[in-house]
Amino acid sequence: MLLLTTAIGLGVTAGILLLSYRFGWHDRSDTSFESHGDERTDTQRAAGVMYESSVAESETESVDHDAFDPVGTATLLALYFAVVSLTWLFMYFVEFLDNGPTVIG
Amino acid sequence: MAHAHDDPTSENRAQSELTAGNRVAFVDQYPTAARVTRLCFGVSFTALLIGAVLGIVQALHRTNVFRGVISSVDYYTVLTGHGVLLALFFTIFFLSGVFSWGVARSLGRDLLSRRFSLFWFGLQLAGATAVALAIFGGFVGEIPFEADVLYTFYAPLQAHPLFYAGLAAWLVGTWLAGADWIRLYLHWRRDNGGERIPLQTFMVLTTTLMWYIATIGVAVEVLVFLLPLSLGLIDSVDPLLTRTLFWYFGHPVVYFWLMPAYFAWYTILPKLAGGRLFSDPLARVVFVLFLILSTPVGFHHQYADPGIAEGFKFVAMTNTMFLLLPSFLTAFTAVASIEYGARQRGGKGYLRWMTALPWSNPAFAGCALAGLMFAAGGFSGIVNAGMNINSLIHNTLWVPGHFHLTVGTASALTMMAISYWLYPQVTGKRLQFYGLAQIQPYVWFIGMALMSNAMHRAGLAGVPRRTAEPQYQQFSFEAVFGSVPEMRLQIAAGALLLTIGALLFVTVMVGTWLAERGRGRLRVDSHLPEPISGVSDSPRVLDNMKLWVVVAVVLVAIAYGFPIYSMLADGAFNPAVPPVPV
Amino acid sequence: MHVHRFERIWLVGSLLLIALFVATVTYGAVGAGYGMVDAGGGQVDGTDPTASENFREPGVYNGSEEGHYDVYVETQRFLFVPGTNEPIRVPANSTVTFHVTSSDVLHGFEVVGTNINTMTVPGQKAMVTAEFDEPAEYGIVCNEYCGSGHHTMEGSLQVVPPSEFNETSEVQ
Repeated sequence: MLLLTTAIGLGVTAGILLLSYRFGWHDRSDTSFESHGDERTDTQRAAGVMYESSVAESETESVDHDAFDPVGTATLLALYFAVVSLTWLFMYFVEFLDNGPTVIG
Repeated sequence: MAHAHDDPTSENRAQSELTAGNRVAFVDQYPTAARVTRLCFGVSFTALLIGAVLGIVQALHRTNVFRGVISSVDYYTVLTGHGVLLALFFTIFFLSGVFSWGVARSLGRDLLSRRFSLFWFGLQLAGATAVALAIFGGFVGEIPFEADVLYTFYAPLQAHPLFYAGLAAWLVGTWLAGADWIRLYLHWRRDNGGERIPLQTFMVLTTTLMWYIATIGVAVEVLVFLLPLSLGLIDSVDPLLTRTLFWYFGHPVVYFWLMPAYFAWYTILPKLAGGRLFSDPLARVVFVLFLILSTPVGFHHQYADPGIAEGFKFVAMTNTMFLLLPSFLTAFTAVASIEYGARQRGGKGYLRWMTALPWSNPAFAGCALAGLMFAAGGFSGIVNAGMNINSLIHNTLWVPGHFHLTVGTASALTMMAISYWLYPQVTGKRLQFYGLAQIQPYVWFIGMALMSNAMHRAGLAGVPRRTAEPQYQQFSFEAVFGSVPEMRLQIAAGALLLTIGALLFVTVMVGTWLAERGRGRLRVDSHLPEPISGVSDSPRVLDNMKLWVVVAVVLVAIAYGFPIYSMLADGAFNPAVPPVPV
Repeated sequence: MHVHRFERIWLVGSLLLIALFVATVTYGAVGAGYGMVDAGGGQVDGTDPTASENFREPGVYNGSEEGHYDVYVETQRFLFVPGTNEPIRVPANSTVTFHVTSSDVLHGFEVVGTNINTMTVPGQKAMVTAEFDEPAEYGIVCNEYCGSGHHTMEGSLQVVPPSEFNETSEVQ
């Protein structure tokens, strides 16, 4: 049975490789990480060197470290604080201490 | 902050340089590091694939959904393989790759010696292969290798010497990898006297130093006790001592899994969200805390052990609870960093801003979902850490429920997510099967939610972990929340989704690997924006690695000195217990 | 070092949570009196526990006072002695101290559905004391991997009404 599973596993892997070869071999111009232009110069194309996509303008600007108050983060963490404290108290006093024969040492 | 871009004209110049698109991709800029990263990722993902297949076999077997693949005796071979391949090789080969990338990128230079780098990779690979051979030999009766000892290989259970020798070789390989990165840093330091350590390198250095301190325990255990025992050079060991040495290492190893994830969440995730790192100094504080606190907590894995005084367990408990602090701080910084991105993208309100995040970007989605799941995993970890409450769930299925959320999602899903972003940069190929990549993190998240919640509840009912057939004759388990049959179903269904998630990931990676190099430009860039609160705001003492190492060693000596001394006082091999080959 | 106001609040909040956890656990230890398995059991011979002074032949014994029993259990591959071939029987309204060790590899001694959950380590004796108020039947499971038969290792613990418990025949 183990042999059969291994054989099937290898078969599936081979299938995946085949599909990758067929469909993955050619470049796709569909959805991408960034919606930047795809321009490249002839020199770049010829050299065979790969270039990164251009960097988003917003990443290059300087930022004032007092400009941002993470209120959304504060909200999430306040929720988390409440959930963790209450769940802990429940786990400790109800699930644990109230459980079965009392262990004393 | 005095930065070049404070001056408007030079800021414009720097900006237009970046946006012009002249940055050479990593694969061509730092070829040695790129090669090393590719090789490490290749081994890592192969280990993931095999480990995932073993996982589904296990899940179907122990839930009694399908027991036709293996016998219950072979279950323990599968379990050993699953644990070792995923928790040691998938994770740490990935770390070796991503850290090699990180130091080269942040120090702006390639690894110094191609031969040395390939050597440590080769050594890690040789060790890992030997271990795998020893484990899988257990399936084939004719081959004399057997290592049904599980990932923790507790004495006096004994594996074939190849298992221990392979582990030792692999471990030395990881030490050499760390030395490679330290060497590159020192090389950079010679040209950059007063500069603060770049953040990614800072994280690599603190993690590496923690690893050196942490692996002393397991190295001694394997080289002084278990390898000689398996070779017949000694005839017995003290199981409590070897177990203690293992757990000296066994806790910090989880930070070796977690710190690459934090590395990604701090330095890459903000950019993926369109934001910036909220605070560089706090990131450094967190990593220093891990360096000094990761190892002195190991006794929290031995709360149920006889032979260890309650006082040491209590100290481990308080240390462990304090070790929550860096993770709590990370929650704040990581979420604030991506919130900044959401606001930039137009997000509004107290909670609605989350919808403005790039959930269709698989690198972002994977990291974010991993972080969310980690918040739950952290809670079950607090229960584990709570000394007396640990008795409620010790060695029950709750424990795998916990660590599948942490190493299994926070680490594993982040590693997969980052690969979608990084693998193109170290190969020069554009990511293939993008649609599959986009759904993969969600498949993983749902699968893990199903499987892990059921494991936690089963643990509360007393169902044991590490057991091929947790169905007993003399009694049955009573569930507090839900029912046992329903839990089994959720575990099987969740595991199936996880396996599909792993296959999706491997398909994307293999497809990308086999693709043609693109026509000149990737769809991603490796530029990491300046943090909101920069490093120049932070005290220089944070960068003082020597100081933190000393503090770490002192804390370890306090936590472990006396207990180990008292175990050794009556002889290192006393009480003597002979080996039991499995 | 610039630390945002919100981060400072969260830092305080985190420390409060940590204090809550440590305080609760300490209460459990000191206030509720939950004692951990520790080194109090002492060491025993690694392969033949009964050869040591602090371990007796497996079975149920009268304890240090009225209503207290000492139960000596040996864990082996793959059975509890006693527990597997015959159930461990104690009367309700008693306090029981389990003395547990192993004569081969690591095992677990978990009374299912309770907090009685300890490792058994060859060479060490684990001691766990619990108060049994109500009659009940419990399963015992080995929850530490001990080899190919690990999943068959089970036993049972019967807490019987005092009237059904025969002191002379059941206690050694």
